[in-house]
Amino acid sequence: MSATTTRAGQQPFRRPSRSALAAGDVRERHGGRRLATGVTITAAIVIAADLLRAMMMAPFYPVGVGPWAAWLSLAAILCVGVVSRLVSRANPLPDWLYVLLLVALAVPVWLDVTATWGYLDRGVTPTAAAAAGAVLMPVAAIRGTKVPLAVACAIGVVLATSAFLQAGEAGEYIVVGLAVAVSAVLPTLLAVVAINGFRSLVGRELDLSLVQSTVSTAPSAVGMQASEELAKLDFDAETLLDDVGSGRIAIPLPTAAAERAAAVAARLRARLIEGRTDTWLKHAVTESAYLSNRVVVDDAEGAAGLLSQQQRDGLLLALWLLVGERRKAPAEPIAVRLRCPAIDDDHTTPHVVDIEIEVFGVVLRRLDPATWEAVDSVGRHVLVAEAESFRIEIECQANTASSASATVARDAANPRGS
Amino acid sequence: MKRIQKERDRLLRKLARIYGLTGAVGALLCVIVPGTTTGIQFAAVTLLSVAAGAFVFLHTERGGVPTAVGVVAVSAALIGVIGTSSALDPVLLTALGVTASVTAPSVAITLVVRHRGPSLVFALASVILATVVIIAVTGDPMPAVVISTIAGWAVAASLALALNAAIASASARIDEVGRAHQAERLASELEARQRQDARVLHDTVLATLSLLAHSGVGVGVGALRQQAGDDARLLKQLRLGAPLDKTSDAIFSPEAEEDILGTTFESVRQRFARMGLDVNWHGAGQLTLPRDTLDALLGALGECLENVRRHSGVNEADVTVTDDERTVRAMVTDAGNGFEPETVSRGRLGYSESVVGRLSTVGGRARVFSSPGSGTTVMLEVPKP
Repeated sequence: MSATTTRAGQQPFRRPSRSALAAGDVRERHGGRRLATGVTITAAIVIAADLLRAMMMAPFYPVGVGPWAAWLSLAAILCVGVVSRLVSRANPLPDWLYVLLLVALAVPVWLDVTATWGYLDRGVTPTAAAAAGAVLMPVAAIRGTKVPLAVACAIGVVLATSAFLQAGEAGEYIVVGLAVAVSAVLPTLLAVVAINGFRSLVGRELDLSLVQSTVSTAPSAVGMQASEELAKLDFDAETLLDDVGSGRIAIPLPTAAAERAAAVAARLRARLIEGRTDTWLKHAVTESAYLSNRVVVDDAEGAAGLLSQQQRDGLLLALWLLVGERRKAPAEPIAVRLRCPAIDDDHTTPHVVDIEIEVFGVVLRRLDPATWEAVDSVGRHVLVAEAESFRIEIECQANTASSASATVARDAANPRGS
Repeated sequence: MKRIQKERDRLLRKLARIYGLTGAVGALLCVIVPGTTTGIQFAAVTLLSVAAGAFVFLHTERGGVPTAVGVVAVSAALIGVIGTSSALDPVLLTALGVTASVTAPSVAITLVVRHRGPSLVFALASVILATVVIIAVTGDPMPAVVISTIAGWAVAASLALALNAAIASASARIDEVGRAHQAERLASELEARQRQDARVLHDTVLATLSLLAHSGVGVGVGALRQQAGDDARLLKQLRLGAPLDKTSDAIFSPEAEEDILGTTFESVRQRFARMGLDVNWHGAGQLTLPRDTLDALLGALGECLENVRRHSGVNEADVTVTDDERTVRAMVTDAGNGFEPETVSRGRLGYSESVVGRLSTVGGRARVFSSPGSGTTVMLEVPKP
């Protein structure tokens, strides 16, 4: 594999700050706020249902204040949470207050469990405690999902335990108690799955939409990472030369400065000479958070530059969908190999590009049909299945007329030192 | 259909599967509690719970209305069978409630975002609610089940609608960000291109850096300092994109293909003169070469002269440029130490990358003639267009 792929592994690409900021913005604000609102409405429905149940059950509480102590304390916690959220609109709640509110949820749970203790045999179950589980739904939408889910599970365990402990008298009513315990966890579980799914979906789509901008670049475009690097190297060289020119560094140079000069020169030389066969595909893989460690591109001739825009779109999308179907942690990355079989020394642009995609860790029948649509927009394909992997071989007609500048492509396709 | 909508549907199906299977498994666990049902009723409710789970699985595998209707129909049947049993104990009541408020509403998650989804969901919810209400009116008044049925459908539908709205809003924004990023990329490409185009500048910068890497030994202090200062100034100009004067214009972007050769040869000559190597120029001063080829030839030439300066032990070199119909040749000759070409490994980065590499990208080549004590000649060839 060429040096560029290893370099991509060592140095993760960082997007220009404006794009990165906008990307975070989408997740947090644009869609995220709507989701938080919707989840809050859902939580309100659950809480309202629990409250109605409490009202119906209140007459069956033998003595005392019934479920209302627990409900009042839950309302108090909600008030503090909502008010402090409104006050600190822009900033997130301070951590200590967040933790305090979560811990405070123990109060309604405890009050509710003690109020209903021993009456499960009459069908009296906790209500405010189940509602406390639902209160965690909007919390998960606003802050991380792990802690709220853990707290909801803890509430569920407490309710289930209290049901089991009353099993002796309650008899068949234990099932009702357990159902209430599940109802304390299920809404938050759903909300957490929805929120996590939303976040990863937006992250993936955003990454794709950013990387898709590589598709329309010229065949020999430098790529954002390379151009960033070049700018930095130029600046390093400028600083060093300026120091020497202005006499801040003595001549003959001290060892450290000489070594610095050697290092900058070596990297600058490498940067200027290599990378001419880097194409949009390599840039796309390097710049994408999803593809960078999961796809390896082997394209010594820069053949990807010969593909038309539509073919590029298809290839990128196909890789995208393949990566999306991978199981958790397969060892081998997906390998893409591009070759121009008819390359020779007459100065014509090659017409055919052979693409091989070797896929590990994907179950063939689970593939989204859209993957094959995308592959077909690149060229005719043959599928070769093996034991651990499968290979997609695409024969792709390079559309020479539409390629931005055939001569540049030709230069890119003709590597040095052949 | 847009891909993001497919992704959305996939997520919704996952949610529906969690919700629906929780309900189906819960109901099944309830009905197999010993002593609650017997005989034919036991068989019926067990079968129906399993069928409800199977329909939920099918529906959340591919989506679609028929399987969703199947989920609701089986749920309604299950509710009916349980509701008409003679003694509704708390376990069966729970099974009934779970089916009405969890299993059946799971289809609302996937259906409500479809075209006319809300009315479809409303219709399906009405079927379940009607079944529950009829049982409540005719038999056991079970207000808790009625409440949780309504809540279950409302929760499923509202969560799916929230997710749908959030994804739609994010999708619009993603497109915007994508476009902005594209603009950013174009700007960065342009900048990189300008930097790469400044190859002559980079050649002199690299030459100066190599001198510095050898601690500047063998060059006059004043000359080196001036050279470094000049290079730093040019790099700064490149960085700031400042308007360029005429000579540095040639260094940044040798665009005019004809007259430029003389100017750039001259700049190479001056650079080496400052560092103590006199370059004598012979032959063609004007050549029509494509920019890439010219850059490669000049770059390789500079590297050869740098080698002469560093290794030959003389302070004079000759460059002879000739051409015929097909090729341009540049010969770099010195009368210095010379060396045995065989003893220098071909892989040494300096020569192979900077001379051979540069030339072969434009279809040219380089040959070295040398032997110890009798000087060195390097022949550089590039094709004419």
